[in-house]
Amino acid sequence: MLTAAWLVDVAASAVTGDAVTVKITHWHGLEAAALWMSLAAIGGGLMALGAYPRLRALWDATPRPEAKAIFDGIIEPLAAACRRLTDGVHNASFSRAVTVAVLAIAGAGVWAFSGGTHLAGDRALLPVTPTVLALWAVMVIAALALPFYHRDRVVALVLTGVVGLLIAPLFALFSAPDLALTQISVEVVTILLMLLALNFLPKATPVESAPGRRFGDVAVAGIAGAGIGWLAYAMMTRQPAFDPISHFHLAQSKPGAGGTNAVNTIIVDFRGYDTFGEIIVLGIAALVIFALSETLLRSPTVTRRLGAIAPVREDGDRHPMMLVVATRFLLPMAMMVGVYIYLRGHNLPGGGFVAGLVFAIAYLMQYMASGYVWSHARQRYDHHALIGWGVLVSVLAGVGAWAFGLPFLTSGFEYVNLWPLEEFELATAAIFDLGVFLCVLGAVLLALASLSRLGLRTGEDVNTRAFDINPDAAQAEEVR
Amino acid sequence: MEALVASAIGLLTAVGIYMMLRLRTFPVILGLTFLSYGVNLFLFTSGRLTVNAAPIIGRTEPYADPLPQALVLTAIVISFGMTAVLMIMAIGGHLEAGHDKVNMSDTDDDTPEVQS
Repeated sequence: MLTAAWLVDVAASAVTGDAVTVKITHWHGLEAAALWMSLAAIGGGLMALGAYPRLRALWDATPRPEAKAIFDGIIEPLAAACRRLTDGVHNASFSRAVTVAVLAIAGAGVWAFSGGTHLAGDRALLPVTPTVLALWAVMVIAALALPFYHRDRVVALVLTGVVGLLIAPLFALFSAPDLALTQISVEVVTILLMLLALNFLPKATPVESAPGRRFGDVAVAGIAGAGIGWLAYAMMTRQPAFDPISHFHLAQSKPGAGGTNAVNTIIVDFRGYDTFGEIIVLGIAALVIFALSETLLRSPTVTRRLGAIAPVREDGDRHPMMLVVATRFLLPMAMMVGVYIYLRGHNLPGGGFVAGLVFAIAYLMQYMASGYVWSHARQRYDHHALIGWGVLVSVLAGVGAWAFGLPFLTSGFEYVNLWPLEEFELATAAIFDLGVFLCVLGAVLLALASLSRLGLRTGEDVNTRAFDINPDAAQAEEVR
Repeated sequence: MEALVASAIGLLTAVGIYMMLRLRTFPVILGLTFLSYGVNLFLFTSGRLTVNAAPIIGRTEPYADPLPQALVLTAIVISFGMTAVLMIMAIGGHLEAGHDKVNMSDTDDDTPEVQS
């Protein structure tokens, strides 16, 4: 009989490597069980076919679980429960969300601190010095005054500035000169920004919350403050549970990164990737501010409301000549200080962040003294471009390492002897820090310029001269 | 000294939270600023307090822990960025809606209130 046995032989032999012979038979005789099983199956099938209409009717009549009904039955109550929960929780009340979050975090903190084990608080404490005591006292007075006097928003801003500026000497006293420099320059920029923003917001906060509610808020704030203060005290009075990893950074700062300022080498060398991401975030924040201000300026409602803001003239001189002249003289000096802070950053307190902020403050003084339009007309570099160049320069500093077969942002340095100068160091970290500098400068200026652009739509007229009084005209008047 | 710094952190946080619970945008942003003062100081103290120990290699040992300082330095700058974004949002909200309230009442669904 013709079978496919030959094909199976060839295939099986090829796979196993040995000669295989198979025998395929189609008729196994009447005794084979398979024959009777097949016949029984065919017979059974024919019988079932004959009984189909009756079986079908029986099946249709039998009650059975309906998947869609089960699904709907489960999902609908769940969806309704979720809707009730969302409606109950999300009542568009920011205050309630903050209250719940603060209490939940405080509760989790208490639970973690009481449940876990911790070292004994036996770390030697520092003696109180009169300087720190005085700083602390002024800070406490200013901070406590804020809740009582915050309704006058300018006063609130002054109190915020007092506290923020006092933190800088605290950083300096507790061995963090870099932080002191950063805090003091950021504080100046922040207060300027808020002062500018107050032009477009009400100058006073109305009394709205009932005394009972305020009492509740004091309780929530008190719990949060006591919790974090207690945690800070517990942390400061204990030795670290693990050996700090910064031994490595201190040991490698000079030999590994080529700089003696361990804080700066962490920022630009050891953890350069963090900083790289951070300047991008800062740049994006500034671009968001610009984009939002652009959108606002396109809205007819906003421009109408801006136009309705009446200029507040508390004195006659909007751009005092003394201030204009003084800031004009200060500009090159402030820039020189910025360059100095940038250059020393790798070895002494300073660096790109602080330098960028110092430059930004120098320019902001021009904006304050002579107005946005006058200063902007004399500005040669676009703020957006500064941010872009900042990111690009730091990317170049990072990609440059690839040329030496090293990972992204690996820093390198070389000591150079150039007669008649003393031996000095050239580090790629300085290029990266330049990127940080440009990005910070661009971001701060773009943020404040975006706010100033809103100011142009208010009812106030725009000055084209550096200061309001014209000394030339006054002189001509005198001569005549 | 530790108790002074810890109480200052606690007070700054408490004032920050209290101001964040006010009903207008400007005090809320001031509250966030206070909260970031407190948090930055708190993160800084995780390196423990030291005097005359700036982490400048070659000065007198021992050195203060440079790592919290580096992290707080970037945190200070980012706080500024965050405050600035919130400020423009607050201004935008005030100019678009005609009021600077933080909470929306249950009755108005996004419909701006008419400025009084």
